[in-house]
Amino acid sequence: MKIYKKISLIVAMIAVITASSCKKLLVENPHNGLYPTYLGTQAGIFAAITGVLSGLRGYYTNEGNALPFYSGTDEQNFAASAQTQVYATYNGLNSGQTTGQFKSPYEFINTLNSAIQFGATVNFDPTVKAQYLAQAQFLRGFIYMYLTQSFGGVTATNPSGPAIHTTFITQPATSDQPATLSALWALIISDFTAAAANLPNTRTSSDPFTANGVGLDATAATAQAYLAKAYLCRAYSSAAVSGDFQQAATITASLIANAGTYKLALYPDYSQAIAQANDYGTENMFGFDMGADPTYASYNGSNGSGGNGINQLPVFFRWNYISNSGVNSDNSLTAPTSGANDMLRDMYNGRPYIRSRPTTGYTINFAFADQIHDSRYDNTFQTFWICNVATPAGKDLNGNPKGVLAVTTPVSLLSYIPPTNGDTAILFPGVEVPDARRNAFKGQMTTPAQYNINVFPTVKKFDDAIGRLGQNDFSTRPAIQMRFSEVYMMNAEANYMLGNTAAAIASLNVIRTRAAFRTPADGTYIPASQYHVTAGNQAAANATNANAMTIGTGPGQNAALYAQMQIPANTTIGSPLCGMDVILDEYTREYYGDLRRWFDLVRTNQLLRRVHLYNQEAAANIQTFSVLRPIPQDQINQVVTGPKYPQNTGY
Amino acid sequence: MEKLKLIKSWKTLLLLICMSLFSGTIFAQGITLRGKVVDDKGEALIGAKVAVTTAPATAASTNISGDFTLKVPADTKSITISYIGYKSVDMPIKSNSGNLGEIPLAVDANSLSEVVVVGYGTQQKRDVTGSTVSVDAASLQEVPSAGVVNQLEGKVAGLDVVNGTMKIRGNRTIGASITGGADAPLLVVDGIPYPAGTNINDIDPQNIKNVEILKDASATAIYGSRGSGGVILVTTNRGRVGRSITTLNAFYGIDDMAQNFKVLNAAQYLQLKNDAVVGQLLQATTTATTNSYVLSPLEQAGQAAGTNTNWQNLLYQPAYQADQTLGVSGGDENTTYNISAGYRVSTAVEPNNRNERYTLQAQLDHSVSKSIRIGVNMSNTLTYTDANGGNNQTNAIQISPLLSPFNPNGSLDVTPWAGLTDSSYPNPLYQKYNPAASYNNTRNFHDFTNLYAEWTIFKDLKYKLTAGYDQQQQQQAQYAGINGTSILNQANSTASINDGFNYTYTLDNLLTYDHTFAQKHHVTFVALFSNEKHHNDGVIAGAKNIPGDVNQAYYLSGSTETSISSSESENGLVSEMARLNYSYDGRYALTATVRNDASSELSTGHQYLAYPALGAAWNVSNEKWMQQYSWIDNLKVRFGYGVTSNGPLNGNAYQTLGGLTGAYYEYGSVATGDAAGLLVNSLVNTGLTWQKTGEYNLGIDFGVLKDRLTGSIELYSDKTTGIILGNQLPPTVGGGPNQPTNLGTSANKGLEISLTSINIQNKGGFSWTTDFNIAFSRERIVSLPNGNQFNIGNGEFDGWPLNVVYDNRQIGIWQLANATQTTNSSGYLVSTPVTSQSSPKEYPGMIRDLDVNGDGVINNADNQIIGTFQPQYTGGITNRFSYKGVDVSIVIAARMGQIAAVPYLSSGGSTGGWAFLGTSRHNQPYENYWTPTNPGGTFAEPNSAAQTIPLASSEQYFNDSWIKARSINLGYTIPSRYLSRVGISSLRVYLNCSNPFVIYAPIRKVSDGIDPEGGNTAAVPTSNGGWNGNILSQPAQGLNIGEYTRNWLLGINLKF
Repeated sequence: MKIYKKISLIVAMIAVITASSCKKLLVENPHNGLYPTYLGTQAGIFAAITGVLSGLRGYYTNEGNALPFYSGTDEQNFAASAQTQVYATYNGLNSGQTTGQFKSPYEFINTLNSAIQFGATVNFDPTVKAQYLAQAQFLRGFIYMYLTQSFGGVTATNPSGPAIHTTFITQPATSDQPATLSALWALIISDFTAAAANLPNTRTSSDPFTANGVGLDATAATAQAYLAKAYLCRAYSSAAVSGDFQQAATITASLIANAGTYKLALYPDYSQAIAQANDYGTENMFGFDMGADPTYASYNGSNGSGGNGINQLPVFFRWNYISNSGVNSDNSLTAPTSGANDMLRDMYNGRPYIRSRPTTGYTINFAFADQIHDSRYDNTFQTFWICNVATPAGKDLNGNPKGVLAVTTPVSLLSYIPPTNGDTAILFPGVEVPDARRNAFKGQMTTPAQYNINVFPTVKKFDDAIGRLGQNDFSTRPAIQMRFSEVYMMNAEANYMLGNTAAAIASLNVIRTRAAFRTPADGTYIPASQYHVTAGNQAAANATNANAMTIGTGPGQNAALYAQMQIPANTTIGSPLCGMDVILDEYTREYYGDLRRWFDLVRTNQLLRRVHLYNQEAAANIQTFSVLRPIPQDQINQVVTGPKYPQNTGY
Repeated sequence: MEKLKLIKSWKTLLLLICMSLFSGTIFAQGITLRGKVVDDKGEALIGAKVAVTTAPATAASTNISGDFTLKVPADTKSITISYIGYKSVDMPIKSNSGNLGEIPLAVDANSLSEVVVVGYGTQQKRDVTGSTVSVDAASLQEVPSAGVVNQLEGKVAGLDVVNGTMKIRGNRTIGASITGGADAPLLVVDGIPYPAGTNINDIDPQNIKNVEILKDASATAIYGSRGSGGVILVTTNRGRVGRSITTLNAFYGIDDMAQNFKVLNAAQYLQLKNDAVVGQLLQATTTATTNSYVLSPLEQAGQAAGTNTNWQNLLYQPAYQADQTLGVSGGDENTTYNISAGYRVSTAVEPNNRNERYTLQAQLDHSVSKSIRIGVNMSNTLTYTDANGGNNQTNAIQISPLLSPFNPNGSLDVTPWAGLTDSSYPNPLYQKYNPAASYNNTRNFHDFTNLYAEWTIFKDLKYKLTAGYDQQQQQQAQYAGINGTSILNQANSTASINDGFNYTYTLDNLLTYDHTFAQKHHVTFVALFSNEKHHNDGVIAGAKNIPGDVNQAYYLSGSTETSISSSESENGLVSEMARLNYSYDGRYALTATVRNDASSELSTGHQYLAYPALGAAWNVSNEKWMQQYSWIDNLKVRFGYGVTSNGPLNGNAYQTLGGLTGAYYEYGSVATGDAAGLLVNSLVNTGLTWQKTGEYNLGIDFGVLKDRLTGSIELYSDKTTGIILGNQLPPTVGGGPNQPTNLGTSANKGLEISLTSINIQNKGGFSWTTDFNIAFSRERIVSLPNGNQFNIGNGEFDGWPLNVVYDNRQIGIWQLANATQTTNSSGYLVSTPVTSQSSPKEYPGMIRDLDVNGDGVINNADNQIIGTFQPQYTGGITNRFSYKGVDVSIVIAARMGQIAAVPYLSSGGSTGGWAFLGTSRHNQPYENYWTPTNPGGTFAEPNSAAQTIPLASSEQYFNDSWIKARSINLGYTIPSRYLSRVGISSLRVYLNCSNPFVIYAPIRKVSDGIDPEGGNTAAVPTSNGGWNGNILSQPAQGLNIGEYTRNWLLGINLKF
């Protein structure tokens, strides 16, 4: 009977334990991650800002979000592998396609609102806290500016736009309403103003949003540049407040005058301004850091088999030089390539994505027509490819063999080695050529008349020579959002709109004469047949070219543009060229490939006019309401409480 | 060598077992009774119980020959002889009784007196009020398999088994995975819920005695919050009073591809290349007269040499499986035991893939005293899964037949794709020839133990405490070394190790009161208080730059770390349950249940829900007035209603707390700027509660013509409310994507018929029986979130089944006559776009979809519901024949009327399917594609310049009805007279063939060699999409290319 008693006792004990532990079983006590209470700590606020930067980093460098920044403008047409063409053609752009452009930005805003809100109550070092909050406010302004430029706001003629939220939302809601355009711009300007007042002038090692002072986070100068941009944007809009253009002009002039305070300076040479070595130099004011770390930069380059890295900018504008290359001369307009392929995808030439191509009529033949005085065509585009795979000899137009191409050595799939020998396999001379020149050239020659959705000059300014691990990897370079040169451009734009033509021309000339500057080293990266300088003629050539680039009435200067600058802005479709066209052409040359063109044209109310003028593919379907994107259908469908969320006019 | 070892270990085991055998029992003085217990055919019944029930009680059981010896007190009046499934016999004893001779027991024809396992207890079958189905071990073992789920396929009306996943009575949860997920049934093994996500194959099916399937809510409501998907009660073997019996069940088999997947041969592949050029010119994609995918130098050499490689034949090799279970069971009045050991090994037709399973099980029951009984049930399983062979099948069927796997010197060509666009693809045979260059092994240890103590407080009242503990430890180690293609050097080699641990404990306090009063009133009352906790944690570490193949994943410290992560989660369930059974005179039975469950997964205030259920049964045939209908042996009518749920968040803890998402950043693009950030993208969820299913069930059980025909008919109707769906909040209120919210209603009704017929049972010993079942389930969405009529992205529509295909409908291929053609300078036909359609612009040879609104544009406005993934009916038929010692069974299963999305049979680019189909970039399955000279072709014309062709997704929907023979089993039981002298009591040898043939499957006319059962889920690219947001996110029933194997095996069932 002893064992009987023992068992009874044990059973009774277990029964008691069971009964008492049930309450505990129902309480969740997670250790596996972070939950909202963490946001109310100093580390939580820092993490929230970091998280938003991380989100923006992905947002500004992937295909789905990036394409709408430049598609459907005078600069770009879609290329063969473009997965969606609606932004490029405006054909069928509807509310089902813009969800992503609303969803992530509002996620970022809510996260920033948590930081701004908790920052008011959490106690920590006031200097640090001020920096945190200023950075958060800057980013909030940045995102609202993007939303406002894309979706507008409620005005007399437009019923919808983005909603304003400035407090942290923790619980689900199913009602919302759009804000007025005035309220949106007021919020943006107030955020930038506050950020400009509280952010440090320069990045130092104590700046928490840098790596020991290296980084592209917002400084006081960044916030002022964006503030100037916000004033500019508002000035053109129906929500304009008197003095907006003047504010923009004043702020940009002050930034230029005090550049030293902010450690900002233009490089003497355009090629240095976009050089990888200067990503963290004196000219880039704001951007999103990338890097090659698999965790912190989301870079997955370990297996080298493709799809890795996150900054996709270098690949969007690259044509399929592998499959569409050839060795035969062929001046057929529709089939520029034929014969065996003479190119291999290697690390140097990179991965083709074939998503976007420059418009031939405007970008190639007009904006970048001057390839002698202006170095920016050569710096922006890759126009020749050195043979990197053995190929049998091709035939000339008469059917005669042209000779075998010498292959560059070494060819690498794993490291970036610029070709130092070998024959040119593919050349885009940039101009039409006679048959004799084609016959004399051993590889394939493609002229502007032959550019099509498959074959086009490639933007090379984003190429990553350092960080990648494999031929298919994208880029580890930061995505630059604000360059110091843009302060000059904004200054020019504001002064032009104010009627201060001379001041506008002065700012433009700073940018234009800098673009004329070449060095002998540049010659390595441009075709031998193109204009380049030697050590001997550099000084004289640069002086001549700079003078030719100068807008003015002096000898050798560009008097035509000077005259055009005197013509006030006109937004009517079909109206003659004006000073605004000079400025917008300059934006093209200076920033080609940067994610901005659609916004430049929308801001200046020139989208419709310029598209009709320069891009027939887009002009066929563009509408007056195309200057705003449609409010996502998800937003309209999911506001189920209270008034329905309205759609923008036209959609 | 391995087998030898195995035999050795068995010998050791046998020795151990022998040593532990019981020797005998000492009896008091009295008379000695002898006898032999036999069945109606005169075969010995082993282990029949021979007992004296009057005090002092004593008992014995029959031995291997059916003989027994029992010493009884001299004044004993009678003994009782009983055996499960047979009618007990009370035999009078006289003082001069000695040898009682042969005592025949008759089969208990009235199956209603069978005892049925129900949750938390057992019941007489006649008192069962819910819809339950029993499947016994004999029926399960007709399909020798690694696990019980496969054995159930086609056996139970309303249990839909597809490729190892189960579902009872269709879908209830909108948006749930179509292959199980939220609607999967609850598995209960020996009374303890088997933790979700645990592999049921860890239980050796040879050790399963019986499976009970509870289908309707009145039966499953005792499992409350986990009952809505039905409950499957698995009962394993336990010891039985009597001499110890040793059993050995073993089989050995070989598997091979039933059929290779059909692809083009070399000549057809070359033709495809030419046809793809014809296509690109005809469809004006380009004016180039060369194929974009020109033959590589290696292919050209192959063409010249007449190479026609059958890569699949080279890849596959016959696989084998061996399965052995050795068990000993027995016991005396106080203690019974059952122990068994099993070993199973199987390989796959792709080399270097192997599974091994070791099982050790023990069940022990012991009466400590008259009122205390304790027991233990232990099952330990160790499995090793070697998946190092990877999946090279896709590669083997896509590679050009013009290529040779080997270099001229006989070595393997590591880069046969060289010179092609996909030059980085590996040789499909690489892993077969270089097993050391990669490694992918998973080891899993699973311990499933439960202990109980039962205290009979007084005669009719029992208290039982059961403590269940389930523990699993898993490690997966992976390594990918230099392979000459995707990994070129050591720096790019990778390895990872993933350790996981989880446990679940269950503490059940059960009070049972069982009393019969006034002879006719029988009451059973059960009360339960139960706690359950689930915990899991894990660590994953990854590295690159592994020093060498020898290290695999076990020397990460010698490499460069790439990732490390750890996790933990816990959830709890607290339950109370009460059930009352009342039956009167074997005619009327009533069951009332209420269970109250609380889950930690929900927010405070919403954790509890009560689940009531009521069931009633009327045994019509037990009424006196029924006795005039002598041809009716049994007629029972049942009716029940109950409420159940499914686990609210499927064990996903912390979902209501609004977790923050990690978002990393690298300031300054350098390591010193590494920072961990976070984003708020889910909001706190305070209102979430259980979704509920209420179900009515009407059932009729019958047996007629001396039980020659028995069966059941079930009619049910259920409604599920508050379905947990991801609520789409307005983007502007801060994300909250797919926040789980109680939204949506679905309903289901159905009919299930099960019949068992003894077709022939003649005196000569020949018998033929047939089990037949068929189930019709008609589910529909009643309402969707926020009053929406449909959710196109998920394929959900009010009034339709839970998953439908909504897309453009293909009506054919555009023909030359639909456009005009000219001949170009090279002599190729060039066509204009078809005239009757303006968008998308299409050419002859492209997919022609139905223009519903006739506007000449095919777009979303022309979408229609093409079909549903739900079958119209499922069923099975099992025929059994026996003649003397020979038995044959054939199991056939069917699933009819559903469609499958088969992305690999569409030209939809690489999304979820066969990349670049129709471009001639790879080899392909389609032979009958359209060309100008084959206008009857059913697949779009190849075009080497078009990676995707318009409207490709509408090409991918196929009728996926199928009727398959699952298994044919031929057995011979060797007569005991030959065996008894060598000490064997019974021996059956059998030959089995699994997947012998497909009876009906229309999809095999399109894609020969595919297993129509498929069962994989696949993303479905929609017509108007591509990658840009239009991939249907719904759970779809898809078919992927798979290994359709046929198995032959030889087995024995031995008892001694």
